[in-house]
Amino acid sequence: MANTFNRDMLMVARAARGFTQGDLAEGANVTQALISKIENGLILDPTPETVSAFARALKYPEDFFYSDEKPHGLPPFHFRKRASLGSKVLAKIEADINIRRIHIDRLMKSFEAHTAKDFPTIDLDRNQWTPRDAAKHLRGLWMIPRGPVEDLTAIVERVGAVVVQINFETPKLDALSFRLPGKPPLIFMNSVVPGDRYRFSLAHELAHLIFHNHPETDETMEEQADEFAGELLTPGSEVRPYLAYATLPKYGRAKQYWKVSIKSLIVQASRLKVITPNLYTRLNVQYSKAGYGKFGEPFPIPVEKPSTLSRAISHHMQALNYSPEEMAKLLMLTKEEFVSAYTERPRLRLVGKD
Amino acid sequence: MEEIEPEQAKVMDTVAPFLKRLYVLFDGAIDLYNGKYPAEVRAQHSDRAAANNVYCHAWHALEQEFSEEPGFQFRELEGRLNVLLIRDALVMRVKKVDANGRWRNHKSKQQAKFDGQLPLPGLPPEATRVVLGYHPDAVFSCVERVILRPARGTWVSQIVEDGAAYEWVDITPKSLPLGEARGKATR
Repeated sequence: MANTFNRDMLMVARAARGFTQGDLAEGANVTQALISKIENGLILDPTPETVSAFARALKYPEDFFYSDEKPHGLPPFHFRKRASLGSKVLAKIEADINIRRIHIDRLMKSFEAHTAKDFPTIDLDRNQWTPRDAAKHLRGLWMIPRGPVEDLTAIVERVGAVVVQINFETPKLDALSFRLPGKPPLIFMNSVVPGDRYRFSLAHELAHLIFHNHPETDETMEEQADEFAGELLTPGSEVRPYLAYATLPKYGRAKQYWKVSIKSLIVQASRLKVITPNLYTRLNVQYSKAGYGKFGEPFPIPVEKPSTLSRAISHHMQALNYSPEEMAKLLMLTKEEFVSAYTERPRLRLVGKD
Repeated sequence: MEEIEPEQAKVMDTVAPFLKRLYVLFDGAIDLYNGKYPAEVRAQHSDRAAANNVYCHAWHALEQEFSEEPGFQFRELEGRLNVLLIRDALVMRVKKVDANGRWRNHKSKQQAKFDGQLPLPGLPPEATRVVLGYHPDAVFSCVERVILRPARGTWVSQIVEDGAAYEWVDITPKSLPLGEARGKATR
């Protein structure tokens, strides 16, 4: 344990629990002024009693507040989504992601994931490729068989990314991805979205990781990512016959085979010019009238399960003989939270304020 | 409250003891189609193929359910028109219908005669010709409504589930008779 108090980690812990400074002051029985001064660097070395009180109130071990970890900000993501999320929600997502990222860093030090580790980057401009070209290229490079992608998460993890499911506690954000130097690409997926949306969002984030190391305009990046995701999951050369004679019932059946939403099939049909603009509009009207936009689509697709993180945990506990207490210490969690977050299925989430 | 037509009352009295058994066979047929056929096969089906499959399963279930019911006779009329004759009082066909209780397809001569209550060999002329219709949701994932209406479209009854019981309600629209749905049958 380092001896220097890390005020950034206090802010991460507080945001992860959804606490305001006032909430923490009440829970730790200290003044809000003290917390404000600590977080703003006016008090650099709070007393051990104060740190213990923070640890008890926030349910993190004291080590957490003395670790030398440096939190990262959120990666750039679609400004309309960012604007629609409240600042408190964003702060909690940022904190949860930072904690998970620290866990992954610590776990990966002793876990050699069996990955090809050739996660590519593609410069669309230099190659003069469209996102569809890139998706075709990747399907070949990763030897994805013809037809529907059976398990996109498994493919993404096989080529070196780590996929983590977190309950973002908002339906407004589906996924976020990071690519930090020397680390595996990280994709954080909202665990409460339907399986078809999960797959499209994962393919969408894949595009950001592969194309957008030098961010372009927001709209361009989103369009490129959507086009890539559509082609990766429903390649034009194969999906066309399934999109012809377009009706909602037909797309409902195609959904279950291709494991993508009816909505994304409508968009792909339009993108591939299989349907006219008028029919595109008519299908969207029928889709809205059926209530699928508001209440969700029928024929649910199961949510894919990532495995790298759980394999890393198993490796530590079985091959390296870590006890739950040692795992909790490694990950700077209480034992209860470690057990609940990493060993109980299917709820892989960090506990919140309530 | 509008008065119930004598014909409607008579037909619904005849089928009243069987409402649940008539209602559930459509759920069963759609579940069978969506659950037992491989997704790859269904994805290649046109809407007509899907509806034909569901029809076959619904008719099969109807035969299984009522083949030994006293007074129930299944008949295949000339022109492959499958009907169920119930106690010489009514003759029933099964059809997929839209939200307005109408269907669309190309009518054979036999079907036109059936719908027009015209003489058909093998059917008692006085038996009321009715259609047991099911209306699926927008993507054929479940049944939204099961109706019974005469082929001529002069009244409409809906079978409704009320807890464990099944009842019927009159949903006859103000504008009668019900015409046919506009547009061609979908491929």
